[in-house]
Amino acid sequence: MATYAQWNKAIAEYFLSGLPLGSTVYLSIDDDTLTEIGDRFLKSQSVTDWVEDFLWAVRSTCIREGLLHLVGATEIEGIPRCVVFLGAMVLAAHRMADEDAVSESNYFLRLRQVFGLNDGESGRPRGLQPPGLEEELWLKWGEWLLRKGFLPTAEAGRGSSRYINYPLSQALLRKGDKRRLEREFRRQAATHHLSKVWDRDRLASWLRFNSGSFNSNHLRDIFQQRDPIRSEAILDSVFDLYSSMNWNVSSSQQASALSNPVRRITGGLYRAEDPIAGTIEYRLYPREPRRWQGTSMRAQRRGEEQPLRPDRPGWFIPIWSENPAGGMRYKVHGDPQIKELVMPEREFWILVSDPENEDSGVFASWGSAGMHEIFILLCLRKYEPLMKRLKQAGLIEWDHVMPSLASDGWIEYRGCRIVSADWNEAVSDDDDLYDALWPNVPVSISLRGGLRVSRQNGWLEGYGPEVALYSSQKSLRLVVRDVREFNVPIVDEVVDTNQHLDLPKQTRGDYLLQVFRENALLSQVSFRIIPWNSLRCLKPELSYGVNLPGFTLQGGILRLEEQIDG
Amino acid sequence: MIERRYVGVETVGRIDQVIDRIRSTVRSLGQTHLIPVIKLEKKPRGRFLVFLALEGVADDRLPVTVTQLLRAAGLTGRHYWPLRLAEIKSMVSGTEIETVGFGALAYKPLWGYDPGDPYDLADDDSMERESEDPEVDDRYNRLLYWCSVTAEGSWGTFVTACQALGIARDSTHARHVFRRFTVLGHIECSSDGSRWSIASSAVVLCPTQSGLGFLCGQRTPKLLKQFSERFDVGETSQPESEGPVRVEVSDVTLSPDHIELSSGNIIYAVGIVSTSLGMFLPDIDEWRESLTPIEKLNTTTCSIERWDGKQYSACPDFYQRDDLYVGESGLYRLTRGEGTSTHRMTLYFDNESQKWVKGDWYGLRFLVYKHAGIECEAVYHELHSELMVPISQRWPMLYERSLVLASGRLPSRTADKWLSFSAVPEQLAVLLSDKLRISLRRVSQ
Repeated sequence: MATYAQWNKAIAEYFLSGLPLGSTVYLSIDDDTLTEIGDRFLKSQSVTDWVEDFLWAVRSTCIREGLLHLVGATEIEGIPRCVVFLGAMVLAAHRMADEDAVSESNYFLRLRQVFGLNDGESGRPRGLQPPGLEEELWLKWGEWLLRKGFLPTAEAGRGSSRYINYPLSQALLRKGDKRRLEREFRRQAATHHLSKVWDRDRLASWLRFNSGSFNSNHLRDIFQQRDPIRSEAILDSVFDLYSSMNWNVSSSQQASALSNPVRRITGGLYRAEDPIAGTIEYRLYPREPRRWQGTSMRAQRRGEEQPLRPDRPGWFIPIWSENPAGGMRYKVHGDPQIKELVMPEREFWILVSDPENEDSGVFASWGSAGMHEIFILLCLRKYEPLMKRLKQAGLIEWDHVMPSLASDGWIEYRGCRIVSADWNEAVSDDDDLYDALWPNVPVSISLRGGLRVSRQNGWLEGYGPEVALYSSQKSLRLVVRDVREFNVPIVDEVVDTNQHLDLPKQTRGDYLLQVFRENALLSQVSFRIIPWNSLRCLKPELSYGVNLPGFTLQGGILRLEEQIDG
Repeated sequence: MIERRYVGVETVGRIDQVIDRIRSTVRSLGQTHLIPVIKLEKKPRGRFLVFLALEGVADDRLPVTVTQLLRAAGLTGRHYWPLRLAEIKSMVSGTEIETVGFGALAYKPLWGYDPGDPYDLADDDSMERESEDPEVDDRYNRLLYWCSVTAEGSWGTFVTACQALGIARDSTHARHVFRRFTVLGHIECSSDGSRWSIASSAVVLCPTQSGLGFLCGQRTPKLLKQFSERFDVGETSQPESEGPVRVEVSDVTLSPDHIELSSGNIIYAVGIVSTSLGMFLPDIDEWRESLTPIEKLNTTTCSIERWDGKQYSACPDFYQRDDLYVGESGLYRLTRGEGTSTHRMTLYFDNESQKWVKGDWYGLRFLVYKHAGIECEAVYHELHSELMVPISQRWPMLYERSLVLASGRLPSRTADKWLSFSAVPEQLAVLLSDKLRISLRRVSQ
């Protein structure tokens, strides 16, 4: 059996491992997640039912003499002690029946079941009185995430659901949602309406076009989610489910596979240009699976194996040259769960500049293009008429078009920029590319300039970033908070969009930058200002040097050949 | 389609203010379609030329709209119209300043960013120091700290860091910083110069001063603090403060091959490197053979210039027929593309072997001298252990590095255009001069 403290550590590690700094975090604990956490992070324990084990740990710590006792907000081993407690609150939210109305009484009924309270009462348990007693724990979790360089998402609601909104905001897909999705995926794949080798973007587009086919109001609602941050998180969960599916077995045989971790890695596209040779090469750019724990993996092609080495959080180093049309599957060795690397079938790629260094000249499928952000569109020639219409409608601009040097039938639109958000009225087209280009993110935040330390999501003290908000809105409300004094923003003002703004000089610490339209949060990013005297030397992944017959020189270190051999 | 043409106007004033004035006038008059970009004369200062690109104007008379616009932007100096890009190419810098976009946004090329060839040092290394900067040592130190924690990156990231720290205004200046960091043993770069990585920390001994060592490679304030807890450490500025300070260790006897600091950081103790390196370096012919070759280079899509000893000039006599290159051996600059998508590279072409090779600019220039049979010279002052090399005949980087690793100090410049390398043992001066086939003159006083 695992203790409360062991679960606490395992849950925190599960939600943060392999996650790029600056990512949003949902504490979306449900039965499947608990099983996955148990299997992967608590495997030294001999437990057959991880959900029961979790409930035992929660109840043995939080229930005394039949009453619920709140845990403290202190930290153990650098992790807030309340993670398990909050996880139990989210588990209750996930366990609300599929079509349950969101009400306090429904929620507390499930919460009482999770904590095993048999006091014959209903509604908010006495241990959580007065209402809002648990809010401090949610705030602590949020502050801790920010200090770690991640973005919290739990938030209070309005009126009677003010406090229960914290756990409800963390619940993404309920168990019933997952089963329905899986059934629908299998049905659509059997009729070739859904490919087994799509990536997240392609699947997202398919879901938007096909949400009407799901026989569930709740699923339809979540795919037409208006909150852009939550919508992305839900898509991540759906894609995890899709990537975990074992297509070789039937739905009934894979009954327990919903709790399986991701089985396959999906590739993106990395565009490398050799200015000397005048060539462009597209390389397969494998994504790190979410919550992956650094096992040593190798991908195999034509009998040869290539190691998958980390590039940056969320990505492995680009491997071999690949046709952008994709549709390829490669074997993966070295991991007990991950068996496959998939280069998705694509007819277009949106390649954005390196978010860690906008000026590097490198473009890859790091994400979608926000308003006014420069990107390259690599697509089949069949999209030319659509692109022409988009340009005529004043929605998009580009610098020039070039036939792709690497692949026949493909062209590159270079220097693309989405210049208008009025897509509804302009060109109506049920087209994947149209959907992918649609600026569904109302604002994108760009931090640039200053002196960035890319591996630490931070800037050096005295050389902080500038900010630009790219949006079709002329002005938006910008709030910058020092995490240590969260309730006293250092900036809270309406600013003009589409221009770079200097931020007030920041001292060392963690900051959260949020953008609101009226009171609705549209987007947020976190960043860190790092003091010079705390810097630690890092080892390069790839070291260069001078190699001449008889010796190698690296900096001040001269190695003779016999020393190297020895 | 009508070719884009330029109107050049003489003007004076601060460059940023001139650009802002033109951009705001063009935008306020709604003429960004007519004048999409501005170009500036190379190294503008005092009175300089600014070029406004005109789109779709076929007339040989300057349109009235443009005349009015020039006046409104305060550009009342003499103007030149019409000019083609080919005519002004040698006069202007590569950067195009857009008139469209957002007023407060810094200019960014439309796609990609080419910080140029990191090896191209054709521009003089006389950094313009408009005023004394009391923080210049700190700036260079910080650049080295940043390299140490970033560990590796593209040449472009190095340029960006130099700009953020106020060390270099543009990539032209950053190239010299890049080279100085390399000869000091702080960073290494890939064979094509497109990427760099930080070198491990090492204490190197000085061959002419017993017990004196200096630090190369990675360092941070924390590492230096821990290092100073173990050793007697001092700091000396580089000549003209052109690099991170030399961190020196006195009375050092380094018997183990590494030093472990309290944080677990390792500093390698590597002894005297300069003379060992000098012994192992190949002679100039072998060095030329070791340079990175560029295979199957298609020069037909490039505009080609040759270094004539002072500058790059067009060389219409050079051409390619199938796999055969016809033209004399020498240092060439090849440019592919136009405007924002321009890529430029500097290569040495050896006619006899039909090979294009890439390498550090001074090194390739040195090959040109050798090919032309120019006698190169150096002077050794025995009393001061000082080696003097004419600035116009700088050595290939690897040989210069062997000299710099004797002292941990960059060479200083004399008024009569020589470089002075300090703490160079005579044996090393002789060895390297022989390998480079340089005539070495010894001076005993």
